[in-house]
Amino acid sequence: MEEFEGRNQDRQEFKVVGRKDIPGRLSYALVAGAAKYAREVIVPGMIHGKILRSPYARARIKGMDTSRAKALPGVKAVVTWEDEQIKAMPLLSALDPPLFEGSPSLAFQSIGIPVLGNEADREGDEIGVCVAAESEELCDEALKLVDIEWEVLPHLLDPVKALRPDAPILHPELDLPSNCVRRWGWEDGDVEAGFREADHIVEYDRFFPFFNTHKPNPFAVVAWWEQDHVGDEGKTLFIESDSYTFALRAVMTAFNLPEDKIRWLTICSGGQYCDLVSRRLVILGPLLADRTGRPVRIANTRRDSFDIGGGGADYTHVKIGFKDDGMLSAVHASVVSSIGTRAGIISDHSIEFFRMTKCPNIKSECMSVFTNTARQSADPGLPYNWEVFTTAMWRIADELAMDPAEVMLKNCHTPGPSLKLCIDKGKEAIGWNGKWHAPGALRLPNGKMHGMSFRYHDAPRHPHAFYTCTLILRSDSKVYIPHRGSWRGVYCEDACALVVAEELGARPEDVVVQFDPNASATAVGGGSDGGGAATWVAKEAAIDLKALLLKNAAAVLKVTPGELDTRDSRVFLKADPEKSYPFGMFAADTVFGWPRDITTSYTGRPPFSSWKRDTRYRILDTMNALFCEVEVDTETGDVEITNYVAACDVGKAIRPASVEGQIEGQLVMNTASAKLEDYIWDEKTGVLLNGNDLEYKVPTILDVPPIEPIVLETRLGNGCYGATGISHQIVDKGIIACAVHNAIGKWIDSVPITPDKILEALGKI
Amino acid sequence: MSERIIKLVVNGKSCEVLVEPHWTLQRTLLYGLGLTGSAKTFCDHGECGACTVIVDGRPVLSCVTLAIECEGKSIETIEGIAASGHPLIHAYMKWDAAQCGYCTPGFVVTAKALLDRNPDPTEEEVRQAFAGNLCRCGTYPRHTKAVLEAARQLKGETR
Repeated sequence: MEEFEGRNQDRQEFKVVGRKDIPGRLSYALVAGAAKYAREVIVPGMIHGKILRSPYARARIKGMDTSRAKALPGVKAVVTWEDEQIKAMPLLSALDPPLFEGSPSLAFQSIGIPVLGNEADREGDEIGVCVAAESEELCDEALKLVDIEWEVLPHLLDPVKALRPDAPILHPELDLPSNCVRRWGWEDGDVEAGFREADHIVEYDRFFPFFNTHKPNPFAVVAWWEQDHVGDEGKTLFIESDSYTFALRAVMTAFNLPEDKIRWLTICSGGQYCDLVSRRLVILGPLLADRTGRPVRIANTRRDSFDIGGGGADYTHVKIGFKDDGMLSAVHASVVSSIGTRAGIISDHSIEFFRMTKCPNIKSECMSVFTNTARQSADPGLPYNWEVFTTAMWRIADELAMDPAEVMLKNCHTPGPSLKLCIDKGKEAIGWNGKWHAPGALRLPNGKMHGMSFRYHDAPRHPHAFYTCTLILRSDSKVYIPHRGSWRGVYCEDACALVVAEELGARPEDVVVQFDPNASATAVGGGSDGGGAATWVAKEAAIDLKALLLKNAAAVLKVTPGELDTRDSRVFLKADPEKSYPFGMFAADTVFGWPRDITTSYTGRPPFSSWKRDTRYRILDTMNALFCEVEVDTETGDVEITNYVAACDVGKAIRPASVEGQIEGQLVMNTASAKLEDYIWDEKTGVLLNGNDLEYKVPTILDVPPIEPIVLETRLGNGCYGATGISHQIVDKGIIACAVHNAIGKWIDSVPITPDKILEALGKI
Repeated sequence: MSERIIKLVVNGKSCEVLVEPHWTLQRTLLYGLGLTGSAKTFCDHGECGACTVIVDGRPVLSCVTLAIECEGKSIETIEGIAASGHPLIHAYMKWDAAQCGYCTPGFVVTAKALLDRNPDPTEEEVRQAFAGNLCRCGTYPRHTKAVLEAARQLKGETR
């Protein structure tokens, strides 16, 4: 705890934080349909734009004739990859410039792509030409009228096959010796020595495929240029599009615009999760608007939205050595990971999570490989190959006929108090001690085999970026938080408002998160991992604001600040609490009584810690434990998840309903990737076969088993009041694989776990 | 075929809208009437329920319903449900049943149609009613809680 800074642990009593009966104020707009998302924006005079998409998995345009498209009535602009302005634009990268450059923990990288080029990396890739016309139908018609001479090139879908010596090099322009774009690796201790010390050695393979981020509202842009009525000379770009966070820099660079010449008007991004990849439409929309002098809307379709895959397509070979007592002595894992096409995020799929154990000898190797599939991003279900860790623990237990919980507790380098609390509560809730059985040992009265499993993980303790929170107390006694967005839900922003109310002694209804397109670029809020930090920043700002408020009040009331305190948006005298005054009285000029805002701003984050790559052991203050039960039908191969219990030490629950919702959401996503979701490309053509919501199986409510979230509060996190983030580490597809193994005594080494794999494992097909 | 004017009763108000014959009800709500709340495009193929509206008392998917089929019909969107102060709205807020919020109006409209015809649903009946609504954020367990609470409020059991 020595790394804590600020005033985090001071508060022991809470009036509004942690209460379940305070609805999120901002969620009204979402629930009532008032929230505006980019693709529903309508601007007077708006026309539509579309970008040609490649019908081939890998192809080059050798020649193009757009004359018939240009001649089509209603077509306003046809712009090709040979356009001089486009050719002069810098490459579009997922992270441009690299967002986390220099970060020791998240070495994300990306290979840029032309804003519009003549090469397609995958079927459905934007290529060659974009058009603007009076309607979407006219755009489609115009694109069909473009005569194209294609050169179809050989494609690769599988990262292992892409590494074969005879595989075509997908990107010769990068001058790489193979399709491997980056190798990653590290070694702790001496792995070979560790294996020599082992009493047992087990080797196995795991595979999980890309899964689609599946943003609910497919990306869209509406853009127009006009002289800003309060700006200096020169047109300003007005833009409605999903999350500005990562795209703003790309737009600024492409059009050589300072930030004051861009008005990013969209606050609600919809579900973007950790999809950090900037789309071409965010550049081409403004470009077409400039060419036509009209507002232009480009909206991706659902099928277009299969461009981004989460998690990579990972083949992992694992070798573990362990002693007779279950203690790991060595781990060596080799990962071959598909990053898909250029402009995806190249991230390290190493086995860092084994650093949660006492094992002194760990070796991790990872190869990131180009394929012609989807671009790699992150969520949903971010954990890359963390299932490798869970299955390793279970394989040890299986080999030694031990209880997996015992194996895990033995190996974890800091098994308490958070982890022990999570495990004890979770075991109790699911009835572990009465139900646990050896693999393949329990057939239920309904004829199905019963299985259960368990895993643990550390909780996310901090975000990756700084946050800024500005607070303005006005003469109406309300506190305003100017907020630029983007909102990917409002659970984090509502939590920040609660924390401000708590620290300032304001009524929750007097703290107002207010959309301001010019607010600080790193607004409060963010992903749920960032919740613990964004609220921490809000807390620090509120503490400062309260000090200013009391200073002003003391001057007016002719007392010292120490003689005052706040409650229910009023300042009162401690010696005589009945004498109280509204906040607004002190946000006014003392001579004339004119309104005078009291403003504070705080930028920062809680101390950086556990994700450090150079840290030998991950810091395990706050943990979570996940349990599940399955029933496996050995006749049909169907796996039914019948129960989840998630015991999570969230440090401190700021908004309990949000916390529970995050836990449930992650387990819905876990069910999805463990059982249902999988891209299916045609091997021969590379064409995506299930790019729709019928054949790509996003789970419905009927796929979701009962979920029991158990929220524990040790206050050991480093976010606000000891909070942690809550999402991400809850997900582990491996827990389903382990439960299935417990049911049928067979390992299914890839996800999704589908009936055919079960029947094959049972020798029935 | 050419454009034509159709008459609709949207959230209790009569209106006339100029539509093309191939326009869906979703497109008409968005471009004809500027109602963005229910005119959501998640799948655009009748697979997700995000564009659900109530037409003459029945929940329908507006992305696969032609506007001209709705001539003279009564249409209820999320905007109308919210404006009426239906207890579903605050129950959803209380239970944080929205995460990103994009699919949420479709769920609320579906729930309103359910409660209209079945004021006292069981949890399983709520789940079945939502079988056609997709939520990528995984808010599903929140919805049943919110709908059952709204049902209790409609019966006057709680505030």
